[in-house]
Amino acid sequence: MITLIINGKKIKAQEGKTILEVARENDIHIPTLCYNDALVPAGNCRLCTVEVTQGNRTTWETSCNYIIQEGMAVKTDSERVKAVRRLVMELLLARCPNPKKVREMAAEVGVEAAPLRFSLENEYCILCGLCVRTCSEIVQAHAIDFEGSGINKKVTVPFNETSHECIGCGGCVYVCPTQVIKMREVGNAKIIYPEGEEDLGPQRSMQNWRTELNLKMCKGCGNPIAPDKQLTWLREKMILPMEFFDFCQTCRTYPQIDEEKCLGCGGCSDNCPCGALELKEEAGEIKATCYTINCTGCRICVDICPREAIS
Amino acid sequence: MKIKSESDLKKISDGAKRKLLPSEVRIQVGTATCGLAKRAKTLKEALESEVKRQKLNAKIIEVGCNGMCYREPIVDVIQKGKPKITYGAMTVDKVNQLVKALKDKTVFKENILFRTDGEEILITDEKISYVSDQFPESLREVTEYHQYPFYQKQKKIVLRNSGLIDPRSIEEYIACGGYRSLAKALNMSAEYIIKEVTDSGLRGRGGAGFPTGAKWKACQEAQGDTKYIIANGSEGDPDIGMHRSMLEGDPHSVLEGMIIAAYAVGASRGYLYVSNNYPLALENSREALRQAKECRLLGENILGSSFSFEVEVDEGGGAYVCGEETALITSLEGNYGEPRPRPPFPAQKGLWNQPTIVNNIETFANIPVIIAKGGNWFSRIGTKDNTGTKVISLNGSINNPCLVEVPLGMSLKDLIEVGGGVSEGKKCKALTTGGPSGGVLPAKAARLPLNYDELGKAGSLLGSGVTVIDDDVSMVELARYFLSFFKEESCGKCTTCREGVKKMHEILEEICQGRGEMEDITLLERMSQPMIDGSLCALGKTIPNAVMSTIKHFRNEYRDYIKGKKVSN
Repeated sequence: MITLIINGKKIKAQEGKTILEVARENDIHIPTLCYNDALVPAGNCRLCTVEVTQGNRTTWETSCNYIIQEGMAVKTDSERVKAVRRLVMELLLARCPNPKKVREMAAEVGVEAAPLRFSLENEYCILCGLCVRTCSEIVQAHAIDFEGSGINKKVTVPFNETSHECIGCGGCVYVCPTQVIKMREVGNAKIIYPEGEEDLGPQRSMQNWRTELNLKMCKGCGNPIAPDKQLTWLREKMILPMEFFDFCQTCRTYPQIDEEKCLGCGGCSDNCPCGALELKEEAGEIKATCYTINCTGCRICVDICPREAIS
Repeated sequence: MKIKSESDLKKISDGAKRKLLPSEVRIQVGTATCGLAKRAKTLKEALESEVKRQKLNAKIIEVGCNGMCYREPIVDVIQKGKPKITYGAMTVDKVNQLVKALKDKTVFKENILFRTDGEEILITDEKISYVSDQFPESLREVTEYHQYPFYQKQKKIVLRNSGLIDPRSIEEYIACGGYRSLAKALNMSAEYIIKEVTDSGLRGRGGAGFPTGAKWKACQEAQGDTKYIIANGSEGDPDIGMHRSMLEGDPHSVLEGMIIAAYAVGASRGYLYVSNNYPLALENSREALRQAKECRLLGENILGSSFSFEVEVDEGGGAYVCGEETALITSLEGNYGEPRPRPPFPAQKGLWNQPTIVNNIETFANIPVIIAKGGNWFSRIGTKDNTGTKVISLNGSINNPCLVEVPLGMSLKDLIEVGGGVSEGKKCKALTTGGPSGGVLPAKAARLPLNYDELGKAGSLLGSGVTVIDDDVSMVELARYFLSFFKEESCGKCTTCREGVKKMHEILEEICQGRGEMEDITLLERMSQPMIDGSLCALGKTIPNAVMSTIKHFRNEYRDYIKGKKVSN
């Protein structure tokens, strides 16, 4: 454990944590824009800057990625810290005056408007990188990234062309603070050209990434499940059987265990990739039981059971 | 040739010295970029064909920059028994007279700058004497090198071989004591080498001035599977060509420093990172690497020891931000050159998260001399906490734009005198000592010394270029120029830097176009501290300085623009 001081208060925290993590554990609020606790902190927006004094040196660091040290003194609301926050929001307001999140965050740090002298742009992207990091760290599809540097920096797909990697999972849509990334579903996409038209069927469109993906429909109810590409990608990554995604979550069936036949050998629970099967003791006998919430319908248990007790 | 021991080195040195003191005539032409810009290549070809035509027994060697960029093309002539004669601003039409004079064993008197009676090899203290007993009386009135005003106050340590040797000949480098320090170092302990470097007081020559010995010690003590040495040759300042000259004129000096560093910290791989703005420097660096490898001075079992070290030349894209050590590392790893937060420091976790030394190529070039002469010797050059020399590109409103090497502690005023003083008929208004990042200093700052701490206290920094700014230059337009430079070079990571520089530049543009208000100055001032505090690296942190220093010292000029008395043209 490490002892540090935040805003004059002595705090004990676990070694290896960042200042932001410790602040949040202790209900000390530090505003952030590009931080997400599921992602590696990037330190792009600079909003979480705090004042750090170690020994006789005071520096200004982003709290999201600065590891705590013994005896460190942190100020989260000094005048200089507040000035950084205000400038960051003034600059973002000038770049992106319209997104709700930008206006809300500006108000939170006490900025009513960007200085009149700052010319206004009409961007929506604040270059926080949450979408890029989600796509590469969580989804690991690596479909989008930053392109260009400096004032020309933007998020896009390679060569600004239709992506080969995007699986249309919508992770980027979910994390984007300004909601500039949009996902659109079209029930019956059509191409219309002078000689006629072509039916493309149901599609999910990731407009920002110039990518359209055909949706896979459920064999049971006929509703769209997800983009075909995404399901193929998942199947290959998790080594699932071909028919795995033929049915949606609603229509999918789950293991039925015939307790008369069940030996309690544990073959199914040992081989279940999702921890959906367990052995339970019931009335003095050990039997397999299924937690359907974990089950992905892969049917490995069906094949493995020596007594064919699972259907 | 394989060099397996110190005695092998000495044998090659003795043999190669005959190249520097040849029986035939040796004509050296300065064909570094500064010379090439003044058609030195054409001059060299003219010399070659004339020598052939007049059947003169002579060798024509291409050498690096001797610092006299204002007198290019430079030609040195070494003829047995006579002192070396250096000619400046040589032209093709004088070539046949020069060659004829050499054939007749007389002296061609036009365009002579100075004579050199002998060279002192810094590393070995050996002397090469050009002159024999028959000193030609006609040369008596020609100034000797040591009294020549341009060189009198200079001290060549880093540039010890530049302009003297063929940079593409490892033998000539060895003849001047090259790789002797490496042989000496391999017989020392790592701790002793680091102690010598620490005692020397050498500070990083990239501008930050961090004690080199301390950096090496931290890396040596760090844990890692592989340790790396990176030589930072990615000079991106718009006003200097110091890295270019160094690597064009004497790339081995940097390489030798890298190998000694690797041995001291336990590194096995190294990278010489050079901007691709400098194709000749890259070519000469690659050739030096190839030759060193061929001689077994690089690779496995260097000089017969158990120490192995591999080096690669890596081409940078020329981005200014890649001069920052963490951005350089990120670039080497194949990514966009974007800085990383410190801690962790590269000495503990750098390239591929391994302990890494990143030092400026000028820092490395000092190392062989420190090892040869000792840390104490080095510490007596310069001043107490600012030891050694600094290579400076002197330019701007100066009579003789040049490349010099002077002891630290010399005043800026004296430095400007080395460059022939402020341009005829002009008055010095301001100075820059650290490129755009250093901002400007008022003319009275010329009494300040070349010193990391003093220049830092004055609001600037000690870079590798000093630019003299005269009365004709608008400081407001200069600030706008600095901002346009930073706008191009910002990597774009931090909101404060990327958006801040855009807005600051816009404001300066408005002021220059006569649409400024006094409130604009207040706004720029208000933006400064948060931009400094909120930016990750020195680029973002010094943008405000570029503008604020012009406001601080030349507020009246801003007023002139705002009150409509002046507009940019």
